[in-house]
Amino acid sequence: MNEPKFLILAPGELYREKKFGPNTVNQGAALFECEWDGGRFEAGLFTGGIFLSGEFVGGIFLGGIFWGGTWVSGIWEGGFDRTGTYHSRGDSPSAP
Amino acid sequence: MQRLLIASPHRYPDLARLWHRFVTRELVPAFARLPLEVDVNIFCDANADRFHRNLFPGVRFSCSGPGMRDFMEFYDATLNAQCDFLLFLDADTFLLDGNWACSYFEAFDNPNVAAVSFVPRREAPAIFALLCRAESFRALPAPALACRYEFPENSPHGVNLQPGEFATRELIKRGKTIVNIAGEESSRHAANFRGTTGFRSSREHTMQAAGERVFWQSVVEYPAYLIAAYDNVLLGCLYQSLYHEPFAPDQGGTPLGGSLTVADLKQVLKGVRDTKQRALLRERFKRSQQNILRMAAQEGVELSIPFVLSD
Repeated sequence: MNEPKFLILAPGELYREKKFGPNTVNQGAALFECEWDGGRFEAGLFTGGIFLSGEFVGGIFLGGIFWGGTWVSGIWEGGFDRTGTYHSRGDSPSAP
Repeated sequence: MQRLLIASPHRYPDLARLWHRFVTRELVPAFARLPLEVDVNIFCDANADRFHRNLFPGVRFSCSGPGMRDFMEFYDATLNAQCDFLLFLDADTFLLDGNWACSYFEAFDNPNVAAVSFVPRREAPAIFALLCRAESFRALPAPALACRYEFPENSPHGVNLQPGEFATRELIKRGKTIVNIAGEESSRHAANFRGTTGFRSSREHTMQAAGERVFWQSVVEYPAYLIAAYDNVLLGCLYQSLYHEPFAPDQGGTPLGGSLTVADLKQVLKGVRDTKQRALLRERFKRSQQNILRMAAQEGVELSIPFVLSD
């Protein structure tokens, strides 16, 4: 049986307007205006894109849309939930 | 007497000092002559411990906390302050002629006028320098001034409303008027160094989350950063000539190390090969230079502006 292949994004890498699927793990890259659909965001910067699904467990979220997925931990610097409502610094997208 | 509150969110005390200097010299006395009772409020969006209160006489400070966690919540929380009128004036926006700004106050004789926008964004009203009739904005559903993203399901092609744009739209729907000063007139009386605070904070966030290499890559890829970096150089020239202290220093105290040093900016600009882009940058730099020189002239100081972009 084939093991699923994981894409590891590393510190020092920058991606702009890219899409990442469920087998992606971000360990410290910066994502500008990217689409995150699945996968595990462990560290790095997510700015200006859309987080569709997956787990956000570390890093900085700044100015994007948190459409779905699970917010576990990390630094919420500001951004929008799926209704387009802005959540301020220190908040989280799952806050009522 | 009616009350005016001049309010602004700031992250950096050096820029706040310049802002405060022009506000207290140009705006406070001019509006007080109308007459209005004028208060000034600075919100410390970060670095609160570095805002030394003795350097900001006449200012009431607010700090980040519940209900006012960042600048976005500050706008709406401030609507409930005790005042009749509010002037939101961005940290990097300077109204250079208090009498000109005051001349528009009579627009409020018309009860339908909800605000005067002194500095437009693409010729539309903007929050950069927005004089508001408080009760008109308080009548809107909260949060009235925060940004929002409409049609997020269409991202990245949804509508990203900037702070104040939702309020403007709702007020107009209700038959209210926003007096919108056109860009040409505005530029004769105001100086805007938009993005300078954003660039400094972006450097902090990018370095913290993704490291130095990524920061440099983002600078090279994003021309707006070069403009903001150059504007910080200019603000630094003025600041240093007035206060003899470094502007936007890094943790080691290097001038502009929290933005881009002159040497670093020159180096990055060397890599910009596209003739059209160089011409655009040159044009934009020239406009900013004119602004800083006007401010220096008001201060009676001469500036020595470093040359960063060759022909």
